[in-house]
Amino acid sequence: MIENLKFQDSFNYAYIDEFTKKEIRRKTLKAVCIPGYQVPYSSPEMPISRGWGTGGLHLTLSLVGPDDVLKVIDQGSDASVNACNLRLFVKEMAQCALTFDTAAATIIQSRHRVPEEILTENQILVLQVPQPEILRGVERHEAKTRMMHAEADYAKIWVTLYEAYVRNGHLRSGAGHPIMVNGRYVATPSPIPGWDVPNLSMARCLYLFGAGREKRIHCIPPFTPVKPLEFEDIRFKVEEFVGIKCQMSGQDKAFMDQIYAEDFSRYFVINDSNFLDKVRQGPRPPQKLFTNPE
Amino acid sequence: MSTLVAAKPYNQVFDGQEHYRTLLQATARPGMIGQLDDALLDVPRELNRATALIAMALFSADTSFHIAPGKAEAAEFIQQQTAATRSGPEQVDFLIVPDAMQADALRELDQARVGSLAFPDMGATVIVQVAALSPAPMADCLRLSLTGPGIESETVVFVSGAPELLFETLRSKNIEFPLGVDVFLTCDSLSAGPCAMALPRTTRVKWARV
Repeated sequence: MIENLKFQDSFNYAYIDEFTKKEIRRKTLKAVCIPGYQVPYSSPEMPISRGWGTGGLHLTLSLVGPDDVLKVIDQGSDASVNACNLRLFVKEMAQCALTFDTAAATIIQSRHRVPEEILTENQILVLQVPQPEILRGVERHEAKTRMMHAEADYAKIWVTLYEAYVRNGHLRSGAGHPIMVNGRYVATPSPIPGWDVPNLSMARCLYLFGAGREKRIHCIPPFTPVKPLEFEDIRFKVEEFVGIKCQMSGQDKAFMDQIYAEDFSRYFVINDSNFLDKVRQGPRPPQKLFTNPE
Repeated sequence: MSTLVAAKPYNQVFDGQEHYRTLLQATARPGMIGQLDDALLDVPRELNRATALIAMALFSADTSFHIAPGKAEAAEFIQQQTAATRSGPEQVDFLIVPDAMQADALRELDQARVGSLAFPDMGATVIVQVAALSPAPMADCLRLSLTGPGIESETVVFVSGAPELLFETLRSKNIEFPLGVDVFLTCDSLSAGPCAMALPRTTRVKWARV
């Protein structure tokens, strides 16, 4: 315990020094002003490795104050190792309150999921992003992808999408379906399932995306149109869990985890841990559900 | 020096954090008038407290700013408090317009950096001091109706102490998205204290005199 206190005193509030925090804050404001555009930022050294959530951590630490209530989730779960460690680190450094309750949080840091429950205007969702450049798969040079964004030249990503359709028979590509933000920038929603992508559009909360290893911040402001890339005849669809109910709650209409039992049989459980707790204990929290086009 | 009283001395860490959060919310929701909690800080007469608090929250030694010539006291204050460097209006990260009613000030705004297509984030942030901002009509003011990202359908806000030319200049600066400048309108309100409202480059502004 004594060592622990000593450790706290030897760092600035919220770990990052004020000079660097100001830089991250200025860049975040620019990211909000240009929705979907990736703003380069300093990405200072953190006590975890780059690519393990540093981008999200930079944003959270630049935002957090002693009055904030923080929730950290990883793949929808409050209990995963990554989430626990990041949560404790921010708590140690910023003396903020912690919660598992999605509705009570003022800042939510997440990886791979947007919470099922509708987020409000008082909440900021910080998403950790491994690869902020959605065009990296079709063009490996940063200078060229930058020009492609500058000229809104997205032909290559459309071709890739078409090829994926030809190969798989549908547009969905696992996670991180490319999105068009405010009709101008094609961006990555971070590797969230297709299920979550429609929730990015015209939301009440602010979405911030931090990519620590790649040193980029981008943003989707509230009430901003976000469209998943799709063709006129081949439309984007979210995951359909037809005839599937959650083993633990008996509920459906939520993103499900597929779990294998010891006898190799499989069952499904709602992925968002706080949402699962809530539907098991009481009324279902408000959700925005997307209906797939015919 | 200001007549407004504040309880506690300005704290770099905690006041800066609170003000940043207010500015972030204001930027994310154009037309929202953000109230910056006041703190004890001796601000020169030429600056309103909101502008000074924004400078304290965002400026550091790696940023440059410009304020209209003749406002030496204000420039010195910002330099001493934040270590930001002074430069010409066409080069700076932050351009401060102390009085929007002055024609010279708007000429400087016209020179502000808009960034490049590859790096639109290099566009300047402009801080314009106005007489008052309010969600309700005031005497001799402009009615702004705002649409764009961050706004559900339309937000109406009233601003006094700003000429129509200011919004005409901003419209021509921001015509070629993603190039453009992002604006904070600031004022000190007797009831609400220092206030700031953001007009990012994505916001479409229609104005009418009332």
